[in-house]
Amino acid sequence: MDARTREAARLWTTAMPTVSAFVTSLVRDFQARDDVLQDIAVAVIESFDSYDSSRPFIGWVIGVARNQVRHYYRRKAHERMIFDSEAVDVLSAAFAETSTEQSQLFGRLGKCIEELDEYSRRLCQLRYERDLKPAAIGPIVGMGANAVAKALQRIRDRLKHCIERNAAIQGG
Amino acid sequence: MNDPKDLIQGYIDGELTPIQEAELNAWIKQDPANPRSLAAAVMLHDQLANKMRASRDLVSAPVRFPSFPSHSGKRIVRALTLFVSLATAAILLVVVLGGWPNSVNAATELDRLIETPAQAVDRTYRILSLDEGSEPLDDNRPSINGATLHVRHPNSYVLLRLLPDGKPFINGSDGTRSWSVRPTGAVRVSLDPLRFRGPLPGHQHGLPFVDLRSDLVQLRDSYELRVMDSPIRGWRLLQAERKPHASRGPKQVEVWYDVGALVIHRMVFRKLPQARGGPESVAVELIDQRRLGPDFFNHAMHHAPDRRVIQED
Repeated sequence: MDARTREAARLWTTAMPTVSAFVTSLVRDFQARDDVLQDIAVAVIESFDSYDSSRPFIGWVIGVARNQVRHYYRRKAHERMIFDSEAVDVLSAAFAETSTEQSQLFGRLGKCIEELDEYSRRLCQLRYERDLKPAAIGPIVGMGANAVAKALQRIRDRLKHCIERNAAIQGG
Repeated sequence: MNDPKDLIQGYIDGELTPIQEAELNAWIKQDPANPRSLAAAVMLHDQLANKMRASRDLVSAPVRFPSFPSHSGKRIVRALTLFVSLATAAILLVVVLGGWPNSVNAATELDRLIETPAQAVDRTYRILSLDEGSEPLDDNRPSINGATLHVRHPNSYVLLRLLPDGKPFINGSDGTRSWSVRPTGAVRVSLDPLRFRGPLPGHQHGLPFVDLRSDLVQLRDSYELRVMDSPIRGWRLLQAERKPHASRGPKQVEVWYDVGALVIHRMVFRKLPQARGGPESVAVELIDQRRLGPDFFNHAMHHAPDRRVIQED
């Protein structure tokens, strides 16, 4: 592996959590996200020579990712992205501003998940391991879809606060 | 407008209606802080999915919900959760203005929809009342507005409604037996496939929306049809007006469908007869397509195992 490829791999590894979230924000389906991420990784290696190293890598790779998402929707003609191109512009800019430190906060997420009560973990399993939507989770846990959606929202809020709290403790 | 936080969370969970999707699309452009809020929420959602899936892959013990397909099973295309953001506004525009007539023959279009092979996927719909004002509350009667309907071809369904206290009232059919699960009391099961279908939109009027093919056949036989162009690329609108001699069914039906995939995204029933109450107009919107578990339409999947079950026949 030459030095240039090693540099591409290093930068890609650092940026991947942000790129992954960016792709999720546009395709939402995790299987589709994984497929698109593979295409992005290949595109990064193939086109790395066009990257100007005086500029932030994250901005460049988000541009690459955006192209790959566009290809994805072209292939899946029956699927539609809900955001128009202006909305994708502002979303791309928002992800490009995400700092490495911000994405590294999620290193503490595993510990925060462990602190969840059993019922919350069960909902997370159904939502994320089984990839079920609230409407499908509802009948299993005896709740309405709206109640499941609200419960998931509260769980994510708790996890967010847990991550921020841990970061503050470690930082302080 | 909905609370932006609810829009973000609803987007993440794929639960937004087309109108809410359009609101979200507009909202993130209003202020630079808005896309940052969405990005932060999606970062957490994405990382949470990674952590949970990694745990699943590491732990050999199965999760305790055996009725659903494994995550690694074949993915079913989920076209309908991803509406174009402007679609809803455009739909409303067309509904208000009456749309643009299309030279395509309406009967031929309907035949194409009828002849589309039954899909191997299960479909999930959200039912929305289009009536102005809220439905009168009745402690014993769950609301059809906001209900979730899961359908498997040809005759299986699960309808989830909520009582005013938020408790679920579920009824359905596995294709052989129909059943009803109230929050308390015995589970009732019947061999009559129509026994608990009453709450389904259109059921009292001959359009039960469970066997879509037969519903479309009825549209062809009892309604005047016309096809309208849709401002949504790749979609058309089939408008159906009940013929004067036809006695059953809503007065008007709209079918919004994808021309290429021949997938119906939205059906609207307008001017439903009011003899048995309920909303006058409802929309049934496809929100997901995927194969649910093999037993999903069995009543046992929707109540605790110790509930008493009464076989009515």
